[in-house]
Amino acid sequence: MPLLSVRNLNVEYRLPDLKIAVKALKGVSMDVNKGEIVSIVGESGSGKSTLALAIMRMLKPPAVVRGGSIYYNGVDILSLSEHEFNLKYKWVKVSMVPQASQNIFNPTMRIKDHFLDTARAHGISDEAEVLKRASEVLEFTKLDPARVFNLYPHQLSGGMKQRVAIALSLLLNPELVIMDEPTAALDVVTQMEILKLVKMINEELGTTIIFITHDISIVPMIASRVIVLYNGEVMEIGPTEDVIVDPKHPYTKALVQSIPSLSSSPEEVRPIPGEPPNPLEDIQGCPFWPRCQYAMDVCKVEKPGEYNVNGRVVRCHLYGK
Amino acid sequence: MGSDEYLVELKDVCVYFTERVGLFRKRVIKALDHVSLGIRENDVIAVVGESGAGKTTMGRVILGLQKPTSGLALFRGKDIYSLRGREFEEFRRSVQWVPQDPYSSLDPSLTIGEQLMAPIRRWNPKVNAEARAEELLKLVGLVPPSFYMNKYPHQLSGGQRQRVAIARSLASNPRLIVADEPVTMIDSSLRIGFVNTFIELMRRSSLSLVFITHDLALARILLLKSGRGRIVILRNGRIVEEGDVNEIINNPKDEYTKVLINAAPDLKRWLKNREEGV
Repeated sequence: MPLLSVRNLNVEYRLPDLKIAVKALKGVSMDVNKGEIVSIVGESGSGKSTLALAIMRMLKPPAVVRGGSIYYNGVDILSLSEHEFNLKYKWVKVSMVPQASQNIFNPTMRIKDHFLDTARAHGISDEAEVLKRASEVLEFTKLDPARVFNLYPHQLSGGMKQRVAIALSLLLNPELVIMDEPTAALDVVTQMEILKLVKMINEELGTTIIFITHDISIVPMIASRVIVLYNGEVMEIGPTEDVIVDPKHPYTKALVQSIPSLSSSPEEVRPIPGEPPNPLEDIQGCPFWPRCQYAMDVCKVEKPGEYNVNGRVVRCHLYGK
Repeated sequence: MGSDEYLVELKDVCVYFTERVGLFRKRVIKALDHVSLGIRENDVIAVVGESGAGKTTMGRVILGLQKPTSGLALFRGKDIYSLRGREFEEFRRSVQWVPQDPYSSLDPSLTIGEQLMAPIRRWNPKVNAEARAEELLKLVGLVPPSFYMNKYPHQLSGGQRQRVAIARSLASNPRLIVADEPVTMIDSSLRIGFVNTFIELMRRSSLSLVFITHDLALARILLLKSGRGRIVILRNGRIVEEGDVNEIINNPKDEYTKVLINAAPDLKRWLKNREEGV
């Protein structure tokens, strides 16, 4: 049984002023296995963060779950009361490094107090015990607790803040950590260090990690499996190597081609044709067809099903009978 | 004073900031340390380095926004920081910038058309501002322009906003654009589209570009596609390497350049290593 299983999840953002609902996730199904690092890749607006927040039950209005289930070890966590979820799951079993972690800290609180505050929110009030645990996780992220504890957030560099945010996510020793674009605002050298840290957390602590990114070129450095999202729908799921060496979905193909390597010839790097989808417009059929060079008539009217291509999930009519 | 061979020239520029440490001590931060750089007409310079390397400070010196502590910043041979009146106007018209963050660089209370027409009227009162604004939108790939003219920034995506910021930088018909990490906040899959837009702009008119980035692979593609220009690697306020991009990537002389190359995510290198079983 997978550690986490998302089934047919639908999330909408209801915009009463416009009398419409923006569908952020449309029938998303995916699994996360215990002990793995799995990457969710997608462009802005593809629903990556919405999916992360849905798993954490941290979606706030106007976002609403409109059907589907999220099973954690077989338990549907969406059906639990908020109290029970917060007590048994949130941060205890599943925690998160939110997007733009550079800005998650309270500027008036010392780093130490962020740890105490987080523990207190989960009913742990033994300060000495919390600080001991906080020291452990800070040391693990290669920070010196004695120094960092008494600093204010503005006294830390971007890379250090990212490390503190990761340490905070590990405070209650969770089984699963969702990291939402943990390297987005960092330069390449710092990015490399954070990727190494994430791998170390996975290998040494056995923590399962969902690594969310818009940059498919860093995925092979970190994840064994990859889930490709586009406009709120899963396009392709498979082992990282297979997906990048031989992408099956035309969107994945275009995504891989759009990112230059240090040895790419200028001709082989191509932007994905067309415009990113407008979330306010509901696209009939496959969401990628307006930009797809293989689009057929059926793509414009019918949503492709989940096809199994060499052990991979591909949602594309090219692979239908 | 320098020659006017260069559009903009930095000569031995230092920018030092002093920071108070405790009550009496001060610490000097060398944001730029003896930097010299010549930018010609139709030049392309990619400036690469990590956070804190001095990339933005260098851009600000070129833009006339940060007076050097010592050394000279010249526009057509004249010290930028002593230009007055019409000469300064000419400098300001000629050297424009594209800021990093498209979420904060546009005025949220103005429509896209208004943000473009204001600088067009400022620099060129005789021209039909509306027609020119539509033309600029087309140039940066926002078509049809009429769709965007009456929209507010919050109605556009990050990528579309950054295209508006580029269009706005073109309003004065500049000779040089300093683009300070223009794609950092943009999805990596959209970045190549921006490179193509800059190439297209340079193809259409005489325009030089200083492209500040920490994405080495993207800088390389920009330079290869434009068929000219060079890369400048900055570290701790100093230029540690400068020259042909392929030459530097294939044969880096400086240790820091090697670190940057190794840290760059690279699908092709990953594929190659995998085939060779590394």
